[in-house]
This record gives sequence, structure tokens and C-alpha cells, in this order.
Amino acid sequence: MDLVAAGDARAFEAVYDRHGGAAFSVAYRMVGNTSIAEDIVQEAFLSIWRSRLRYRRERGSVRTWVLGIVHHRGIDALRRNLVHDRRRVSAEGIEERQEAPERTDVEAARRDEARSVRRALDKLPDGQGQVIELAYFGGFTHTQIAEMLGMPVGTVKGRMRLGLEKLRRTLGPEVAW
Amino acid sequence: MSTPEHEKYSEDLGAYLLGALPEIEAAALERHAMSCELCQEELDRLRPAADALPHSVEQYEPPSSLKRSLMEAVEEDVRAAEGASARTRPARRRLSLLPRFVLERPAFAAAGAAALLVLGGLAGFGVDRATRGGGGGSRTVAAAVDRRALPRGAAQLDVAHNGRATLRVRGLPVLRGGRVYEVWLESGGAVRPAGALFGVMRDGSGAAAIPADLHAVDRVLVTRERAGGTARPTEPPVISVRT
Repeated sequence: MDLVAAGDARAFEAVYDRHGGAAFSVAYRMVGNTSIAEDIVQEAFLSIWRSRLRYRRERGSVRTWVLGIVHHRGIDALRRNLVHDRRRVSAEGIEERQEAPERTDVEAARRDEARSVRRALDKLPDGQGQVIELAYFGGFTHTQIAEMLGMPVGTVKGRMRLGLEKLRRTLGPEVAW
Repeated sequence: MSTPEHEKYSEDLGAYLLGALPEIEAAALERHAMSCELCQEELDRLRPAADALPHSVEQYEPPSSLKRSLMEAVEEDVRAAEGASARTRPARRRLSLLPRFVLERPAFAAAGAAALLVLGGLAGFGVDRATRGGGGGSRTVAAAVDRRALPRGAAQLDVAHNGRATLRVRGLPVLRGGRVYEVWLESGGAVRPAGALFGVMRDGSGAAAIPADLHAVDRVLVTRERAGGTARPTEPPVISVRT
């Protein structure tokens, strides 16, 4: 990452090769449209490149850092209402998306990790998983979620926090992404 | 020790980590957390759960066109930087007070010598004097605001002891046509995007968390740009903060 911060294009390309697939998958999960997901990933990686955003090792892995930036860009896109119209157009056609093959042991291990996080999310009680998914992947604010679900904002915030607490416990204290 | 303020913000920590707080509330929580150890501990404890979420999605292969267009943009940046560096070296010696984007962008430079005077001498700028200093090594720095562009504008930069900063503004016009305020970092005369775009509420207030360490930054600048931001500023800064 130091080389990327110093403007080394080949080092940047290596970062994309390693994390571009996960970044695209997160963006696609958020917006459900290939071309918008591409735009989000391109914006996210260009912001890393152009602003020489600093990666801080103590805050987690490079992958988590990159996915956090992609998530922020995804939320921006969702809140700018760019997505809804194009989602509708996309639903009329056929989305071209290709499941990533498991080429290496590392990728197979990542799929196992993904399954364990999904299982932990599915097991959350009292609609906690629902508010977490609406917020994180849907880009909705707590007040929007409260309106959608017809419940007080305080309940939504409480479920978010309890859900994260429970997720943390289920995934184990040693979890570091 | 728990305080009423901590109680208020602690309810929002989950929503904050999930990105479910509106920008202004998120910025307020970040400001509070800078000086609240309990909130920092809670955030550190819950963050791994939020960080796990993007790892839960089905994996898809990105289209090969994505890498192609990304790397084309990167190579273009590299070529532009090399070319600009060669072109502007003598000019920078002559006009060393000017930020690099003034020197590297002919259109920007042509925007007029008046803009340069404003930058150099703060003529036309109102300086919003905020308090310097603060507890725990954090500080608040006053911003210079271009009074012609933002007649009622005021801004300040809150910098935490770890170098993280939040720019807070008030009295700014709401931008129309999908335009946004974009934050830039100037170091040694070179200007780069801070990776922070923001809009303001109807009352003109707003905030932007700056996702970068400010230790090596000379100034934080703000310009008005198209939605999504730009790679380089297209106008002279309307807000300027010396860090």
C-alpha cells in the first residue's frame, strides 16, 4: 500500500486484482445492477488512487478498508437516487453477471467465511438481521427504515445495535476481517 | 464515566457503523467520539461485526471492461502528472505561493489574477475565527471563506489528536443541478482530492469527515464541483483552512 500511496500504478493494479472481485460483488449486492456497480467500484478505486487515501494497518485488513470505501460509494449512489431508475431498466433486460470461480484455496476459504457470516445474519432474532440488511446493503437511514417498517426510530436503532452485538458474539471475539 | 451526552450518542453507534445515520448526525457522533472513550471502545468492539457484512455477499466476477477502464484512467493520470511536472517546474519557482492546481490547469489559471490575489492576501475572504486548542490534543481551526462566493458562509475544521478531521460549515448555499462541495488537501503546493464530498441542509449547515491523516497537509480547501466530484478542482477554493 505504501507503493500505491507513492503513485505506483503496477502496485495499484495488484490491489485491484486482489480485491476488485469482492468490491464488485459488494457493489452489485447493494445496487443490483452491473453497470452501476461498475461505476461504484471504479469511483472507489480511483478515489484510492487519486487521493492517495492512507491505509492504516491498525484498522483492519486492506480488503476490509477497500470494501468500506466501496460501501460508502454505494450508499452515496443509493441516496442520490441514481439506482432506482436504472434498476428498473435493468430488470427489463437480462443482467449479465458471472459467478466467480473458486480458483484458489484462499477463495474457497472466503466462500466458507461468507457462508458463516450469512448463517449468523440469518439467525439474528426479532428482525435484527432485516434492519441491518436494509441499512448496510439498502443504504436506508434509520428514519427511513422506521417509516418502512412502521416502528419507532428508537426500536430500529436498538435492533441495529443488538444485531451487531449478537453478530460479534456469534462470529467470535477473534474475528478480524 | 457515562454522561447524558454519551447516553444520547451511544444509541446511535450501531446505526453509525451500518452507515444508517444521515451525514450530519454521523459527523456529530464522530466529533463526540473523539473525546468519549466509552464510545470509542464501543465502536472498536462492534466494528468487526459491521466489517464482516461485506464479506457475506455472493462473489461475482467483475466485467473485464472495469479493470481496463480503471487502468486507462490511472495510466492517464500518470502521464498527466509526468507531463505537468515537466511543464510547470520553472513556473512553480516563479509563482511558488500558488497551489499546484493553479499552475497545472491552464483554464483554471485563466480564471484570473484576481483569484490569485484572493488566495495570496485573503482579500475578499472573511475569516471565521474559531477557538484554537482543545482537550486531549484535539483542536479547532478557523477557515477563510470567500465572501463573494459564500456571503454568509462560515467554516471550521475540527482536528482530533490522531489527525482525523471533520470540516463543519454553516451559511452555505444549497447547490443546484446535482453539484456538490468537494474537499481537497494541499501539501507542498500540490492539491489532491480528500475523498470527501458534501451537501448542506436547507439552513446551510453541513459537515464532511475527511478520510485522511492531516499531519502532512498544509491546507484543506473546498470547491463546488459536479456530482460525484472531479479529479482536479475546476474553480478557485471557496473555503480554505490552514492546518
